[in-house]
Amino acid sequence: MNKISNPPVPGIGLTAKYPEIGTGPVDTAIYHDPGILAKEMEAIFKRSWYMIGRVEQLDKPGDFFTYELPGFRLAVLVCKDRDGNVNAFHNVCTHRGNLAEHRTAGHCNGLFTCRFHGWSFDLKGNLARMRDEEGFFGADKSKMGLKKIPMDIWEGFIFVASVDKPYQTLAEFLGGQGRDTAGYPWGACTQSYQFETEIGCNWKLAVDSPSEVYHIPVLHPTSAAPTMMAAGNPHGRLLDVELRGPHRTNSHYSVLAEPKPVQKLAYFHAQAAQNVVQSDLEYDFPPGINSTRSPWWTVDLITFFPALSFTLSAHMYTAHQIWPLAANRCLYQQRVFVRPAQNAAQRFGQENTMVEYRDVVMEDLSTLERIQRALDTGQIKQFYYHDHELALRHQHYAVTDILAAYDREQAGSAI
Amino acid sequence: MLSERSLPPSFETLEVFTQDWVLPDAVARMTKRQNSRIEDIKRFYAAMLPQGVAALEYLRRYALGALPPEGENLLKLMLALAEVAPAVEWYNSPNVTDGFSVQRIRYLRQIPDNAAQA
Repeated sequence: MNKISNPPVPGIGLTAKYPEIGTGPVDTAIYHDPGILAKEMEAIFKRSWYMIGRVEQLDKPGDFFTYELPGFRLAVLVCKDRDGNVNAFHNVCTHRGNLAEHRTAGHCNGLFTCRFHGWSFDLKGNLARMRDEEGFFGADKSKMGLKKIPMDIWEGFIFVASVDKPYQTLAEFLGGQGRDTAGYPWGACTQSYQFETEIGCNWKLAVDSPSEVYHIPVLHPTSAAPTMMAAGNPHGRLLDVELRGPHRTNSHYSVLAEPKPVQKLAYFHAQAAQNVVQSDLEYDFPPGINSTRSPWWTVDLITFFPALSFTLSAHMYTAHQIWPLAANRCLYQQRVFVRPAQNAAQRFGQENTMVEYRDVVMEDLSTLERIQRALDTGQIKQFYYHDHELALRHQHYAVTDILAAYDREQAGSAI
Repeated sequence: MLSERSLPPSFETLEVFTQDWVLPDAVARMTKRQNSRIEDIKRFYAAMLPQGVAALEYLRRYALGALPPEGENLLKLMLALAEVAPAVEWYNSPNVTDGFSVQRIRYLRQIPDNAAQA
């Protein structure tokens, strides 16, 4: 919690730093048109990488987890082999397409055995055993291993791509945003919980939801507003918005307001995983976090285009991941990562953070379905973005720009 | 069933709440809040709050995973206090005002209540 009590209110002028993205109202078609979503799937989502877990989930050789990429129906099996490498495979038995490993997570003794006919694959994906092999007409086992899926790791996060030949490497995909936020102690937050829910809204509205705090004094008057917006920031201004290619970061400030009674227990008696002054840090911020080096900084929202964001403070972070399911439907996943409790009292601090964060997000999500209902009528043609809603304007700009480039690319290849 | 004395000494006034509010995990606590009347939530909150500092002082003496059974019950009561706090302090209702229904969310992973953390 920041003790400097009178920060200057940030001014208007964020959008002016990026004249190419304009200041006018924007067309709303990209938020509800099914044809545009179909194009986004080709031009954006099939060209993206997806964070599906962390290396800490694979402690020992033989540890594994499985995951089906929402919207792609692509089943993935991730495991650690005996050389300590992390491997990702299409989780499908090469005999006739059943799941190679049906459990969601666990440890295997070196073989994944399909529960259909009992074929087994080792930790490098090789087909180790075909039951009654002599009946398979001399099929070449060495060519029948689990299919590899493109996988790479950034700061302990395991990413996969949904296509055989990724459009970019993971490092290219993350770009300067990845370079400038590497070095934060991502791996120190070893404790995490995860939930997901389907929301009746376009994926971009879900990305937008935390991307402006203009709404905080109004939508979150009793919850987030008292601690985030106190003293002199009645309109929810941001410290800064920094655009890096299609990616973007919002920097937030807040001041010490009067916490509620249970918050006091958490903050002052249980070391809740909340915003902490910079002098308590045991690491230096990488350049992409609190990039203005403001003494009033508390939280960055770090967005990797298209649909992965981190709400990050000095000692904890939340990953938000959004998967498009239809033009007006998406899956929202939230993972909150906190540092290990040093004692049983700190477990209470973790729970306070988890519950408060969940309830604030519940306040947000209901607005998204209302916006979508309005959009689906086709009556709302334009949105108007405030200077400090720059992140939303930038998302609109980035999507529109990529779709236009994709159209040119398709037209070019058709000639 | 919990035994008659299920909490550490000096937390006797909270015994009456253990039956309802010592719950297995975060999802059970979330469900309990949703299914409780705000009056019952407020009664639990009002009894817990004055004992909060003392409870955390007690809990601070133990590592997670090393609590005696009565200490684990006290921790679980405190975790239930964390769950109900927004109902009392923010919403005056078990539910988020005008919010998305928490019944629509699925937990895929939880932080265990009392397992050692590293």
